[in-house]
Amino acid sequence: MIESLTPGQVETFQRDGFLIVEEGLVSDRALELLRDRYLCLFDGEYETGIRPDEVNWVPGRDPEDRTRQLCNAWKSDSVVAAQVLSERTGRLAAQLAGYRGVRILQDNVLWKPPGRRRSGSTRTRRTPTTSSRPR
Amino acid sequence: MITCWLSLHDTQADAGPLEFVRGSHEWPKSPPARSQFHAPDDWLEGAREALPENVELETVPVVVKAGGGSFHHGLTWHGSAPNTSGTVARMALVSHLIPIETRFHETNVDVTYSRYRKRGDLSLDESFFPVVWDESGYRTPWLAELPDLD
Repeated sequence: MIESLTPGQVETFQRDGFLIVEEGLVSDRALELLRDRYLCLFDGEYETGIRPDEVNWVPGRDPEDRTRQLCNAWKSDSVVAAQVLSERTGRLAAQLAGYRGVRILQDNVLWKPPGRRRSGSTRTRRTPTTSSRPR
Repeated sequence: MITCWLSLHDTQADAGPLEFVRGSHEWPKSPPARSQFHAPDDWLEGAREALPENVELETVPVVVKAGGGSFHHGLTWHGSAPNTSGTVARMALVSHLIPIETRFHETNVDVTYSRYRKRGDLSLDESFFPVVWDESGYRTPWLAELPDLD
C-alpha cells in the first residue's frame, strides 16, 4: 500500500493538474468488499437506512445504457465510508495539494457498464457555498 | 479542492477511462455552470471552448490496475468517452476533499449542500463534512467506528 508520495509525484501534480497512480491506493480486500456493496447500493439497499444525497440511476426507472452514479453514499454504507473517509487517502491528497488538513466534501460512486454512454467533461463542480483560505 | 478517483477494476483505453486535460488547471476560469453528467457527443466540448490561444489540448487517460487511480486539482478539465469494450465494467469511487479550514459562503447557496448549513453558523459540521486527516493528528472522532479495510 502506498503511504506517501515522492517529491517527483508532487511536482507532476502541480505541473499537470493531476497524478496517476497505477496501483496500491487500496487493499485487495477493500476492492472486493466495495464491489459487493456497489451491487447493494444500486439496488437501493442502504446499510445505514440513509439514502445517498443523490441517486442518479434507479433500476427499472432509468435506461440500462446509462452510467450509474450516487453522491455521498458514505452516509449509506460503512464500507464505502471507510474508504472515502480513509486517513491514508486524506494524507496523500493533502500532501499533493499542500493542505494542512482535509475534510470530505462529497463522494461519487460510479458504475459504467460495458457499451454505455460517456459521462461529461467538466471541471469538478466548485461548490458555491464554500470558501477557503489557501495556505 | 483535490479529488481522488479510485478504480475498482483494471481500466483499459477502450473502456471509457477517466481522462484529464494536461495543464488545464492553470487555464483562465470558465463561467460557473453545473456540468451535465450524461454528456453530449463530444465530451471535450467544454474544454475546447475554454482552451486558451496558442495552447494545444492534450488528454491523458487513466489506465491503471484495480486499486490504482488518480488525484486531480479542482480546476483540471476531465471527463470520459463511452465504454465501448463490450465486456469490461468500470466501477470507481471518488472522494472530493477540501481544506480543513473551509467554511460556508455568507451569501451563496447550493441546491444540495446548503441543507447542511446551520443557521447563523458558517462552520462545516463534522457529522456531514468530517476531517479525514490533519497534520496535528486530529481526525473526526466518530471515524474510528468505521471498519478497517486493510
